[in-house]
Amino acid sequence: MSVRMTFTVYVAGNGMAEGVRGRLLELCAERDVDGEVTVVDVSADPQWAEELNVVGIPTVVREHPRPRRRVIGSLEDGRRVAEALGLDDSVDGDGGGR
Amino acid sequence: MSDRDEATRSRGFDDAAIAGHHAIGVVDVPGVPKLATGIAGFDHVTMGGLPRGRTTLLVGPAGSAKTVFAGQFLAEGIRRGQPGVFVTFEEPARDLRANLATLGWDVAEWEEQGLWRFIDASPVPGTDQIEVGAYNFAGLIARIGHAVDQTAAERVAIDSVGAVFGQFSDASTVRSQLHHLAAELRRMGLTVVITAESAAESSGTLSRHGVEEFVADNVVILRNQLEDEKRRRTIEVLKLRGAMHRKGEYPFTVLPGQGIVVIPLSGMALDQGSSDARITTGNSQLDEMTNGGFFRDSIVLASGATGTGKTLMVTEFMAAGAEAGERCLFFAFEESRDQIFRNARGWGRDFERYEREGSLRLVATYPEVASLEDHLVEIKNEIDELKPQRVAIDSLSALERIGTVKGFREFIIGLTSFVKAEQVAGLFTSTTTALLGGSSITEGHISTLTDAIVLLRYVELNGEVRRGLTVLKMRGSMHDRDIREFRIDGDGMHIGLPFRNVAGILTGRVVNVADPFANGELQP
Repeated sequence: MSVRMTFTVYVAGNGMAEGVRGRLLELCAERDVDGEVTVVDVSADPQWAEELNVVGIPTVVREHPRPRRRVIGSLEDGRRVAEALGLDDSVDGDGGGR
Repeated sequence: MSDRDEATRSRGFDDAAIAGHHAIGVVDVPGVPKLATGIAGFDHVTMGGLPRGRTTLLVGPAGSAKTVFAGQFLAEGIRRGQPGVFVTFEEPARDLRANLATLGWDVAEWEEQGLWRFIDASPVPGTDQIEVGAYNFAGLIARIGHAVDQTAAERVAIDSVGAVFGQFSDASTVRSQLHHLAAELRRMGLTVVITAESAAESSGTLSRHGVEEFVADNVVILRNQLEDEKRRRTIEVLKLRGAMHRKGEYPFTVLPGQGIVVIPLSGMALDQGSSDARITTGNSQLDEMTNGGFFRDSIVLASGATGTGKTLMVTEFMAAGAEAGERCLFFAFEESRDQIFRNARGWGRDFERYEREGSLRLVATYPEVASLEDHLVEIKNEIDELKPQRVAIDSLSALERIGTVKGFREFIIGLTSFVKAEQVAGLFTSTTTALLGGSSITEGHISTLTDAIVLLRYVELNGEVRRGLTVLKMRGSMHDRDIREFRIDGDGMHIGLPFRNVAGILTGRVVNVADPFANGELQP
C-alpha cells in the first residue's frame, strides 16, 4: 500500500525546478511513496520564501504528513534525503492518507 | 596629504559633528561619497559616515552594541528619506522591534509606512533543517531583493555573520555564499553594514569566521573591555577603503533616545577664536590678581585639598554670572543640591533665587550612577540645551575615581574640547590628596588643557593652619605671582596680603625665611 506525502520545493529560477522535482518524485517512487510536489520559484514569488524563512536553495519541505520535515541541498544522496524527509517511515494507523 | 590639510579641509563638517548636528546626508570627501550613520561623533571619526554603495563589516564581541549600530544606521537613513532593510539571523524581528523602540526608534511605524522591512531569518524552534547536499543562498538574496524593491531601500543591515554560521553546518559553503551575497548587494548599489563576532586575540583574524577578506571594503571594530574592574567601550575604524578617516579608538556609550554616542577626542580644532573679553571671577581681589578677571572663553582649574575653598570659588563664580544676567550651569559631583544651596546661603549667595529666575541650573549627581562616558554626554547635552556662558564642575576628582586612567584622560580631553568649542567660561575643581601641598592626578591630565590654574593651599605657619591662594598660570595675561593669604566668612572669600619671608608653601614644607611678622605685613 503506497503512502501519500506532499512536498513543497523552493527553487530559484525555472531551470532548477524540474530537476529537483523529478529527483524527489523518483526517490518517492523507489520507496512506494505517492508524492505530490508543489514548486515555488523564490525569484518569482519571494514572499513565499519570506513566509517559510527560506534562505538556502533548494529547500524541500515535507508538508504532509505532519510534523513538517525540512531539508536543504541537492538531492543526489538518495539515502540521506529519504532519511531526512522520512520517506522510509512506516506509517501506522490510517496509513497517512487524508 | 597631511593630517593638517585633512583637518583644515573638513573643519566645517567637524564643527557640525562636534555640535552633534549633521546637516548633510552625503558628504563629498574626494573619492568616496558617504552616508551619515546618525551616530554622534562617529560621523566625525569617519569624516562623513560610511562609504556609499559599499559594505562595512562591524566586528565586536557579544554585548558591544553591534545590533544597535546596525539599527541606528538604518534609523538615520529613514530620517534622511533613505529606507532600509534589516536582515536578522539572530534575534527575532519582534524582539528587535521592541529593543530598538527603547532607544527611541519607532520601527513598527516605519514598517507601516513601508520605509523599513525586516527579513526575519532568525531560527524558529522546531523547524530544524537537515543539509543533504549542495545549496546556495538564492532564497535569501531573493528575499532581500524583494524587500529592497518594495521599500526602495538604500541601506541594508545584516546581523550577524556568526548567527549564519550557527544555522548552517558547512562553513565553506556559508563563506562562499556570503561572498556572493555581498557582491549581489553591491551590484544593487546598496550601502551595507554586516555585523560579526570578533575572534580570539590569538587567531590572527578579526572576526571569528574570518569573513573580513571578502565582505569588507571597510572594517569598524567595537570593543567592550574590562579594565580595573571598569567597563570601557570603544569604537575604531580599521579601514575605510578609498576614503579618509580618523585613526585610533574612541570611547562610546549607548543612551536611551539617542543610541550610540561616540566621543570624538582627536582632530578637534584647538584653535577656537580666543576672546580678549574678561569676566569677573566673582571675587574682586581675585579679579585684581588675574589682571581683570578670567577670559570669556577660558578654562580655569582650581586645585586644592578638601576644605580649602574650591566650592566657595565656584559658588562666587556662578553667583557673579547669575547676577550679571548670564546663564550658569553648575555640575556638582561631591555634594547634594541641599548641601550646595546651604553652603551658598552661608556665604551670602541665594542659589534658589538664581535657579528660579533661570540664570542658574544646578545638576547634582552622584558620580557612581553612570560611566564617565555617560557623564560626559550628559554634560554635553546640558550645555547644548542651556547654552550657558559659564560652566562649573565640582569636582573632576570625584569623576576620576569611577573610570580608568585612560578613560579619565579621554573624558578630560573630550570635556575641554567641547567646552572650548562652545566658547564658554569653565571653572573646574580638582582635589589634591595631600592636605598640605601636593598635586592630583587630575591636574596631570588637565593642566596643559587649561588656560589658567588657581592653587588653594593650607599653609601651616607658627602652629596655625591658614589658607593661601595663588594664580599659577594664566595664558595670555599678566597675573599676580604672589601667594596670598585668604580667609572665609559669611560673605565669602577675602584675599589679603602675600605671605612674606616663607618658602615651600606649594610643596607643603613651609620654612621661615625670616620672621613673617617682623615688618608687620602679615597679621596673625
